[in-house]
Amino acid sequence: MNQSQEQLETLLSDYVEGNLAGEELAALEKYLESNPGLRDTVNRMMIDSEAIRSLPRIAAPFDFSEAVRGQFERDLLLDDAMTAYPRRRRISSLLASVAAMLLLFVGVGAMAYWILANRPAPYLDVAMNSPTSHDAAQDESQGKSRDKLDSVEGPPPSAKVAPDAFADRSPAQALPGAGRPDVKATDPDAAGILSAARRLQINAPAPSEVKELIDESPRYNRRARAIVIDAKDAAPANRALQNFMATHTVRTENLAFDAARNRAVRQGASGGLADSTPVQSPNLQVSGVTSNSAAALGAQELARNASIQENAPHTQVLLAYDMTEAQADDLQASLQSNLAAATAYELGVEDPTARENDGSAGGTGPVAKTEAEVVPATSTSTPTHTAQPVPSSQPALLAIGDRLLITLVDPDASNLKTQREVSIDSNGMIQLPMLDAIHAADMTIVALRRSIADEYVTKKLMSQPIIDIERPARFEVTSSNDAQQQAANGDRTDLEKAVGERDELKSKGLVKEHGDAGLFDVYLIVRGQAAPTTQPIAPPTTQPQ
Amino acid sequence: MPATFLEVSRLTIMSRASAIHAAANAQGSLRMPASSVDLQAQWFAAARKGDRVAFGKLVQALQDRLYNAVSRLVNRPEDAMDVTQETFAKALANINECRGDSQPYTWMFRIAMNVAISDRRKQTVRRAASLEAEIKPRAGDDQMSTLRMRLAGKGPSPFETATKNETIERVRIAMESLEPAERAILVMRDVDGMDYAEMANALDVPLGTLKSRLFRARMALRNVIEAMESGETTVN
Repeated sequence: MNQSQEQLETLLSDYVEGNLAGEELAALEKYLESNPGLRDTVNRMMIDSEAIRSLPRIAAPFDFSEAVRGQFERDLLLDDAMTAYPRRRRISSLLASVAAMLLLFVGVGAMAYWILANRPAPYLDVAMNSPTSHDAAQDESQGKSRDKLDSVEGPPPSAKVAPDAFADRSPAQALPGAGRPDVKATDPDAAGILSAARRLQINAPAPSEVKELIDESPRYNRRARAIVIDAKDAAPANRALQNFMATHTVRTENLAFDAARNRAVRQGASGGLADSTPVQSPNLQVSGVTSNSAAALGAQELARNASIQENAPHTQVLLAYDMTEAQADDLQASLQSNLAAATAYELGVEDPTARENDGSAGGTGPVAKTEAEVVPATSTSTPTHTAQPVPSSQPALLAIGDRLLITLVDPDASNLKTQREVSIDSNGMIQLPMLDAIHAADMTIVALRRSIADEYVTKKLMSQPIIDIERPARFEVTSSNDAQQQAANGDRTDLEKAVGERDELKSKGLVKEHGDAGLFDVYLIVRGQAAPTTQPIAPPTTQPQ
Repeated sequence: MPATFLEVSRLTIMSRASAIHAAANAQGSLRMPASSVDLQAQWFAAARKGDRVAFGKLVQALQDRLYNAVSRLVNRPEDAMDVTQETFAKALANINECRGDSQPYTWMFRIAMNVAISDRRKQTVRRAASLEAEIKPRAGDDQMSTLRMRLAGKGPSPFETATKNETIERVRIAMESLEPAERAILVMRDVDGMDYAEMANALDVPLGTLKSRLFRARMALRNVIEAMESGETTVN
């Protein structure tokens, strides 16, 4: 291949990945304009790439660690036995039989030793934590202290243990609450959650891995969805949950973890350190779900781990059962709206609704970090105007300059999904492929969605298009203070990170896009500050919309 | 297509690709935060000195990510198990051969890639006339007929995934037909979310060559998909 060919491929590769900018981008686009076939191919490559990223993640089987350990043991045995035989592949069948017998003998012996000594094998002892070997040992060693401390309000006495005590213990030992004997018998699906949570503790990964572990547990018989929200203020997410629960009937449990309890865990306390309180809402059905269910325990583990790993002062988990796709979408929309408002508020914008709804403004409400003024990008005509976040209970209207991410799914074309990011132009219109300009300004997202769908149907381009519209929040910072600007940018990044993370979940297939709604759980993990710590989400005072 | 549409399309897909890659490149934050990377480096260093407990921790920390990647490198779940297991065994056996500039995962991925390719060669020899041989890339109509059967649900699907999205399923099936090297580079980038530096390290090629290979792999995938679609049209 000649040099120019490789250079072109390099450029095209960068184009597919969205890495080009400036003159290079302009030059390549010009080149593609004159090569429509190639342009079509690279555009399809982008779709292929996204499809690959959407492939479901596959976790290692639960017995994988055991299998690896077994292989290591076999290798060790064979290495010892075959020192004189450099090429192991030439091992005779007789010797193989002897080795197998040796292995069996040693394996049985090791198992007996393991059981008697009540601790893992000499190596991989921290790493290995199969569900089958975990319960008995842990329950035996921790059951008493856990039961004792379950009844303690606030930080238990052992919170005075030296700070590094936690670090010296295996996570499984330091984080009790798992391994209740009735877990597997009562709810096999939930047992999968619990197992995933245990593995999470052992691995101690970033909380963002929580969703992967949950989703890909091979013991799961039904879909799971994990939405991790990192917000500086947990209250907006709580408001979103309030709104959601006021209008939907979903079996849920809400699990809250406050700073004191998390701090106690970090300091090495052992015991029941998590609250598990059913959410009080007139529309909730909590029958059949108790705080002692395996699913709740699993969620506790997840929340506790998220809190501890991140040193977060507050973590909250919503555990929902049999949530439909539409309900989940509504929840996400509500979250996005509230987080956008929260970002504005964090930047110093007064948000009366936040204080009213929060009910905990005294010392626990969101803290105005800077005096920077922010305005929505849509209000460019009044740059010094202080933005008023849109109350989540009112449908937000689209405005000129809004950028929309429009997803179009055509069920008649194998659910082919395409996306367009468009801006509402100065005439209040948006442009979509194969359609005339569509009016979007001053419309709600729902109305615009309907309008676009009608257009495609009217033009007989699709019979039943599925349209999804997202509006990423955009803020412009008008303060000239560098520090404030930096802080504001940081907040914006946080928001975009939260939204992006959700997109990442979508790309990984965690957010379902199929027709089998109704059979998956939802975990919503909210980590932030200044949320009510002792009371669950309060019933909404008003019915939104 | 009017220029505006091209622009819109580019912005949209680029935006999405950038967001995803930003998340993936921040990989870090997704799978291996800085602290985890440091921890793994410590375990790896300890393992090189003979600390098997440390190696066990490393296995536990990497097994899910590696297993997922390997699952997309091979065609059968049982192969994924075997290849991942063998990868860790080889890593332990050859741990002192790892270059100092490689991250443990990148090094292990390289081992896994070689094991998978070796495994595939063995299978090709063993099952020369089997389904596996039929779906070799660019082998002609026989390949496409097999793929059509799979799409129609008449053939066995190596990985029964949760997704029912045909676009994703089509890509997944098409990937099985790629040459191992093409498949590996797509897995590294799109499945595993490796950044260019990691990929270049794993493949031991310069950046320009890496991007060129990545593009060619995407082109190969596209060719297979288009052949599949063309085959479907013929069938219908």
